[in-house]
Amino acid sequence: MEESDPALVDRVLNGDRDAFRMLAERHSRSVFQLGYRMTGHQEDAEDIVQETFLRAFRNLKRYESRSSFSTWLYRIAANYSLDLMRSRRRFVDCGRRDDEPGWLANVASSEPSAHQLAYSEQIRDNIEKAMNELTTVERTAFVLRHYQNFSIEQIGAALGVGENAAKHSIFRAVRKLRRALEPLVTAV
Amino acid sequence: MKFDSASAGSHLTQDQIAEYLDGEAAPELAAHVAACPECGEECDGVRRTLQLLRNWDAPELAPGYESAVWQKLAASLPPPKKSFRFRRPTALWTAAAALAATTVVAISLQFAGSRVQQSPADTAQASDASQRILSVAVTDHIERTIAVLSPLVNAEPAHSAQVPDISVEQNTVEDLLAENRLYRQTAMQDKERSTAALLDEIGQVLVELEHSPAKLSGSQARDLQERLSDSSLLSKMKGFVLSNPSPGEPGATFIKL
Repeated sequence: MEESDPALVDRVLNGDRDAFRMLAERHSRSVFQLGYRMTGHQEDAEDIVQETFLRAFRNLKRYESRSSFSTWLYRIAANYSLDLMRSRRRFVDCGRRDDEPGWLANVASSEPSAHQLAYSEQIRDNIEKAMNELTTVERTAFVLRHYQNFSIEQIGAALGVGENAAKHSIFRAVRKLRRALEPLVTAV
Repeated sequence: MKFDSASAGSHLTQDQIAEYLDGEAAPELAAHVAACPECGEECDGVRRTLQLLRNWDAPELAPGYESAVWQKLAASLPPPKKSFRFRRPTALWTAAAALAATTVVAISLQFAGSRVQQSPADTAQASDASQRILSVAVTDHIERTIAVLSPLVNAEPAHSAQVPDISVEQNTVEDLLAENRLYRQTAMQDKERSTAALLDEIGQVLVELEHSPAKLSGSQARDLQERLSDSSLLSKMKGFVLSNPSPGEPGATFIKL
């Protein structure tokens, strides 16, 4: 039977490094997914995976087995992603031009089939562009809520804001995404 | 959130739409969505947007990705720390530490008791031996105390989500405190005033830690950190270890902790 996460954590705290290998191997794909959805970049996601596990190793004694290990790990990943995005956004904002043609124009005129839409690279590109339009906080709140199933309270704690603010960040994100993806949604 | 039937003529709020889509809406709210074309369209639009977004996955990862992550990670992880030994103190370790402390006290008292029958030269030799034993034992004790205090000093309590949990350290603190009392008593007996004073200071912090809640609040953690930095206690402890290296060790081993 597969050893539970808390049991492995206990072994790591007693100096068993191989137990940490098992934890890292068990959770690295899901942390990569989270990192990718938070940043939209594969290289950043790989960086997030490494940094998340390094931070987890250093702070393992703070983990409480009452909560799920993966949730604790995702919080570390989300916090690091936030830092990363905040530092990246400074550069992005400097280089962005408001008069660039909208990417939605291409989507709206392409008229692909529903099946193609679901799997095409173009869909991915458009979603990523829509996600990039969100603020760092909106994106984090949305990803944690809709992909990681965090509670509003957990999202507030991860962002360092109250529950109301966390909730409104998600609403704003949904509203913006809906507006941005409307042509695709209508086509589906 | 209960749907206010009095405001049934108005449209749903974002909160209510989220509730409805989560399947947690009150029956009145669901009835409103069914009856109101605008709210129905809004909920449908949000639902379809979220469905579309659910298909958004990260690029496919190659088989063996997990092993590659570990290979890279293993190279970056710090070497196994000496402090791991103290996170889950075993009964054997606790017994050994207590035995060591008791032995130091016993030997010291034996030397003190036999002084009247010894020549001045013998007395000086015995006193040196007693001091050396005490110094080695106290150095080890202080090294272990540094290993417990350092992470607390370096913790970041400002963020409410990162409240330091010191329950593990508290298990160790109990043992350290018992040893500390014995060593302090011995140091006073041997007239090692500076060592006794240092152990006295350490004892005060250990007592505080022992009686703190397992989870320190931000202000409690900050108080402790300020106290440690104001009294330069950690620096004094490191200074003691440096000037009294354990036999066979270069003296600066605590820096790795």
